[in-house]
Amino acid sequence: MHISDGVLPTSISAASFAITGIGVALSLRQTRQEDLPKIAVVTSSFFVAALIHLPLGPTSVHLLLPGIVGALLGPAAFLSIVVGLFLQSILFQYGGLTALGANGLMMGTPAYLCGLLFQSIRGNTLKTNSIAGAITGALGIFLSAVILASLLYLSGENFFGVAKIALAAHIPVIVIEAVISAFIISFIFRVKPEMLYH
Amino acid sequence: MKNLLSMAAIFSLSFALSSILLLIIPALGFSEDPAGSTESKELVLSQNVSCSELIALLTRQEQNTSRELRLIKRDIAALNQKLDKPGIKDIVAGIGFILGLFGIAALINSRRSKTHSRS
Repeated sequence: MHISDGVLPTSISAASFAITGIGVALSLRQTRQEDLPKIAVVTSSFFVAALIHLPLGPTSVHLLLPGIVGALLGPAAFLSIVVGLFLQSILFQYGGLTALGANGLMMGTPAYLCGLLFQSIRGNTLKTNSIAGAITGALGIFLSAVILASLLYLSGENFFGVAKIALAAHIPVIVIEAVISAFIISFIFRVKPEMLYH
Repeated sequence: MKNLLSMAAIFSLSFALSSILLLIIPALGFSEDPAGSTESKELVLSQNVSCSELIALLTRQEQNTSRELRLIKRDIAALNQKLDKPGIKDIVAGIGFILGLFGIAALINSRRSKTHSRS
């Protein structure tokens, strides 16, 4: 899910750049120094995950991982996602530099919110953690689709039409993401629980 | 006198006939000559055959070329798609970038905390 260059009008790109900038600043303030290596590794994973295309019918989908990034990094997820998107846009031509603000907003906000949600619902057992992982994984994609639809609505599209298309296109991603997030979170919880943001 | 008159009539008649013939012959062209007419017919016939053969040959060739061109175009499209896809270099470069960025952040942070602890 990437917004390409020239899809959004200049005013909305600029506004989303401003909001993304604020988000990065807030995220930077909340980032702990000892978390930096973890953030680097998670950002790299997020950066590469977009390349793993799963063939699905006529099209292919790719992982987005906002839920896992949020669960692992907490508030630093926003920063991580913006950095990952920036490098994706310059190296893979996903999205574009002028749409970086919008893409950061679209992917970063769900990651941030998913991090907060994961904190509040994760509980202490493996089961609750896995379920929380699945929920955050699915919710991350859902929120991204909703933000995508609202950004396109602000640039003059029909909100429910776009939202329907965006959601329909991402239903398989939501399912796959939920399964993968649950799997990864349960694995991390068993192997190295202190890696989850706390 | 009668003889003279008839001779003149014959003469004028033959003159008129010859003049008519002379007028007609160029209009008829070579068809006046029986041997030449068959030759030209054969020529036209052979030209017709070779023309149709040539057209068939050309169409066959054109079909071949267009088929090959289509194949090449497909190859080019596939290549373009391949080129659009990021390769292993891009991936490694991106990971390096990210690690480097966060390394710099960690470095700055550690320096800052050191100076803070000194002061």
